[in-house]
Amino acid sequence: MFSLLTTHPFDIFDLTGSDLAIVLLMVIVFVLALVLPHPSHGHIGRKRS
Amino acid sequence: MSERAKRQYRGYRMVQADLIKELAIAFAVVAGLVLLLAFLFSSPDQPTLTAQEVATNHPAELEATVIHILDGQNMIAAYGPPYNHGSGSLQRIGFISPQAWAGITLPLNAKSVFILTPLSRVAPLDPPLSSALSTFRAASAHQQAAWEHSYQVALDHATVVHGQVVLPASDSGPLPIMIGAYMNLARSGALEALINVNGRVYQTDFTRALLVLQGAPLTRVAAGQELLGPEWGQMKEPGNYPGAVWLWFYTLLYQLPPYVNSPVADLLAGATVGVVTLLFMFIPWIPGLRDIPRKVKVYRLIWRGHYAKRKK
Amino acid sequence: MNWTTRVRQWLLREIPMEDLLPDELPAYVHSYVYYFGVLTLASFLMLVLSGIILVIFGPQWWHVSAVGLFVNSIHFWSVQAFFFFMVLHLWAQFFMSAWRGGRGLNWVTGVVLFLVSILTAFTGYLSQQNFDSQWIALQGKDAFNALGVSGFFNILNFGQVYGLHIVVLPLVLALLIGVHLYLVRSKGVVTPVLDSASTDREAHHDE
Repeated sequence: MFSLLTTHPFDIFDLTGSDLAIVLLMVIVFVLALVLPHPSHGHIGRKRS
Repeated sequence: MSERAKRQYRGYRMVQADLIKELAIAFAVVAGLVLLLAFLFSSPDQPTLTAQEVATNHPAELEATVIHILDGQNMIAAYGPPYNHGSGSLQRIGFISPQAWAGITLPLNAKSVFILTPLSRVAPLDPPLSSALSTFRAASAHQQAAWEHSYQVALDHATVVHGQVVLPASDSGPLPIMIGAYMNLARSGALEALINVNGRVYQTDFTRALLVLQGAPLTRVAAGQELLGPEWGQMKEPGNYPGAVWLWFYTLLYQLPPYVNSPVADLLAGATVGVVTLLFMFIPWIPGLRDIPRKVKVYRLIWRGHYAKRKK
Repeated sequence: MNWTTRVRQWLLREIPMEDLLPDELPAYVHSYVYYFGVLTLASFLMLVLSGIILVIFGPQWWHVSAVGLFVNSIHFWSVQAFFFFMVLHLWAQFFMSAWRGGRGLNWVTGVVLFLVSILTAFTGYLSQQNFDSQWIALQGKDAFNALGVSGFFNILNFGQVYGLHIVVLPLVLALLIGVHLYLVRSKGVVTPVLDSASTDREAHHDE
């Protein structure tokens, strides 16, 4: 079925593929959240003084 | 905006925000995501390991478990607090031992609870068992130990024929009848229930029934799925599903010296996690730790719009 | 002294609605990292909803019913989503050093939430009534025994573990989430880290 859940690509740490996949996904999502430009960036707002 | 908020954000450009809409959208996104994952991957549900299964497929293993419960070598029989006066699993560093201080809070006499009491409950249905039990109980501790030893030696040379353990002749007194009856009980599927009998109809505590298969049977099944402690078992799920990844630090400790293979690994790891958790919790007040974000400067990416405007 | 009046005045002063549910926020919050908190909250709501369905039908239901297994799967993946977003939220708050400006208690409540969440997930694993529960209970008991706590928290006692998982711990989580959100709203969003170009006016926001 799904290779992610049925293989052990990272046997070196005795971890299942899915555990490492989750950690990897977290890093990827975090980096994307950091670097992607926010859509509402540059919206006109009011400055408070 | 309240006066307090105006003070808080003085000097910063404000924009429209809609937190409720954000929450609604976040909920829709998460709901869609978990429904999709549930649909695609389902969730693991491996049935419990029962004495019935062990007795049927690995009878010699269950007999060995029984004989070690009787002779006191079994892990639970020799455990120590909170179950009994043993010291097999008592963890102590110097004079520090919360386990010993707490004492015997869940008293459990393995020999009686796991073997003799369940057997005596069915003995009225089985006259030979009844007399074997009487013989065993009447014998001296020395005699019991001799029978147990002789049974264990015979077990080492036993063969399994049609799912039954066949022992060479031995001087084991009443033990072959007792253990034979015990195996029948296990094969019937009633053993856990008999161990757990509490004299009331309702039951929500399965401590005793869970503990009986501790050791070889359960370890064999877990090892087959790489769920043992040295294999990061604490955070793993059977069947290659993602497990409790958030326990990575705790689990990591069990892979490293001095924790790995230490007889006091749990106490050491517990203490370490306690200290690290306190450090983590009080980062805002710990010089050095609280300065890390300023040094790695990831915040410059998060607030790059703000700093870009500042430059202009 | 009228206690009711005092409480109402305190609430109105300390927790004004316009601060609890603001419709204006500083422009610097426009980054995707600010969504991890609300995604964690959404996952928690999913957990509560799927958990309520599981509780209604009882702890054995999902082993014998296809619908039950599906609801359990929703619960299972909601846990993964909950921790996934919570940890990303934690990373984001750390890198922003979001404890600045008297927000230390926000950080502490966040860490306590993380710990209680771990305990909640742990009792959940123990409540499954399958091999996973059996193995985790027998493996985990040694740690609890070594720390001397099994007398009042015996992880092999299903009734105790299940009650904690479905009532006590979710309630504690919900209360802590309430406190956490209140602190965020009452202190406001943490301001950007000061740099050489920052104005004196901004400096008073920082520690």
